[in-house]
Amino acid sequence: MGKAENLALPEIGSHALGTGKLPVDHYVSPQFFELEKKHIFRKSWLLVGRASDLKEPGDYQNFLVDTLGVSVVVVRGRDQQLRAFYNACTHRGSRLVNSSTGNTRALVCSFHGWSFSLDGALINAPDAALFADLDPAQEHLKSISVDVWGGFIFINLAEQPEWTLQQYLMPLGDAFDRYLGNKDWSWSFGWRANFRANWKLLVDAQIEGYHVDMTHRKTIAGTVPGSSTAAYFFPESVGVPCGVSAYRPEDSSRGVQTPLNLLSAKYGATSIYTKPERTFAAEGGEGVLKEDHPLWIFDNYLLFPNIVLFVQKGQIIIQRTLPISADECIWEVDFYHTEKPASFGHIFNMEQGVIQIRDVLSEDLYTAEGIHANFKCGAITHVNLNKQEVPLRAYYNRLLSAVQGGKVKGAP
Amino acid sequence: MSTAIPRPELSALEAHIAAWGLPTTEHRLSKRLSSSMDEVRAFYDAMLPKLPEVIDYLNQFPLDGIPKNDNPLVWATLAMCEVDNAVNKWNRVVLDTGIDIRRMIPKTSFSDRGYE
Ligand code: FES
Ligand SMILES: [Fe+2]
Repeated sequence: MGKAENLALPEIGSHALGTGKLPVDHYVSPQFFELEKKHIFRKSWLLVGRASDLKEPGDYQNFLVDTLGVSVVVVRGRDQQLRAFYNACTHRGSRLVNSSTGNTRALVCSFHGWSFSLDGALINAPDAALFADLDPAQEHLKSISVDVWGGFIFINLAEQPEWTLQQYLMPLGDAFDRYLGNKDWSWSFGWRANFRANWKLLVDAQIEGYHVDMTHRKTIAGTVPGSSTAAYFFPESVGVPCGVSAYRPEDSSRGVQTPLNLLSAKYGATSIYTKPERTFAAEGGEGVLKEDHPLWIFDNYLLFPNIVLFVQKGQIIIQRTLPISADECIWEVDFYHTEKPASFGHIFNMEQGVIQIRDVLSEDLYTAEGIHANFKCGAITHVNLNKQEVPLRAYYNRLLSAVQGGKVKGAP
Repeated sequence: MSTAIPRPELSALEAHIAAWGLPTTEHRLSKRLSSSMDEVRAFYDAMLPKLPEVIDYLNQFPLDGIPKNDNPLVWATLAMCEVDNAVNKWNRVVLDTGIDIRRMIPKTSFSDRGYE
């Protein structure tokens, strides 16, 4: 790994998906948003949690798809199987769980006390004799498809998902599944925020490198130059339309290294969190990198429709965006690491990294609301995309194909 | 095992440590945002020369063995991370090219959606 002949930076993109302007209606039209709800949020595999957070039988989490009003309970059964159900009691429809996470012996409705086993069967209805002809077998909680990839739990609200999760995430492959599924990854920190912007604008901001030099001029500009980001797309993929790789500049003196950065770097890897090749490979990272390159920092992938997954040597960053309406969304970011800080130096190092990355993210998020307002008021009707922004074009194509109920070329 | 590293002499810094030694990142962020650039710079300039020594001192303890009396020192040291960009990159207390950081609500777990 890390061969010297790889030093030439990769091409930054192509125009293979066309060069036309893209209309902006898809970000503001309520009609289009209805199509997204129906064809995207009800049919895509959605990332809802981490399997290792539901270790014990009875561990559950509650995942809300706000815009659909759908609440999903994902629960670990006594047989260790993960199951997902609509969070809806089959007596008169009350929600069964209200907290984000918890552990329970059974799913007990607090309206009249119907209780359901961890596999969704109705096991007790108080005073069952009061009902005319109650058949418990007919009152099973309504199931939702659930599967695990890379240690992350995904659900799919379709009655019959068109693709298995493995097929959906195909370009990422088994090496990824194993590496991300490594049980040592644990959640370190994260944030969420609400935005008055279409959900896709928060995704768009993370899948091109063209913005880096300008947007991040007061933070990381120079250390990750826009010219060192390679854009790519997977036209045959259903669930992973595109991605970006980022590299350090060949001239390592670019960017501002503050005394704090340099000091914190003595105690660990900070915002550009990178392990040596050998450590990375030993932790199962072999075969994960798209590029085998000494200046490589991260790959990111769009997991359609709403996840941007950053993979680094030693750090995973997941950004999730869920719509509330066409004009409002919730954005979340979560960090996973394989090590917990064990000394003050390491804490200091993490703090520096967390703050640096927080500030960078705040810049990424800054433009979305202004763009949305401009789209909405009609000031802008079309956008221009260059080679480096080709992932947005791939995203857009995938989006249109999804709302038209279209199959993806070459998909299983 | 090398000999214990004594606590550095910090009497000139105690006022800064008291002012900036706040327990969470969010507290330290608020402190930066409500301070003047002169105050931020005074803290930074006073603390920076002592920082390597302070970190070496704190770093010698296991995490649960750091003397409780040193909590303000721990937090003030971490506050240096919070003022770093203000001093070295922006020359102002607010990053005016980003959203207000206070809109980013810290999560407690991957599944935390704030509807507990
Ligand atoms: S609605 Fe659940 S027991 Fe009545
Ligand atoms: Fe960015």
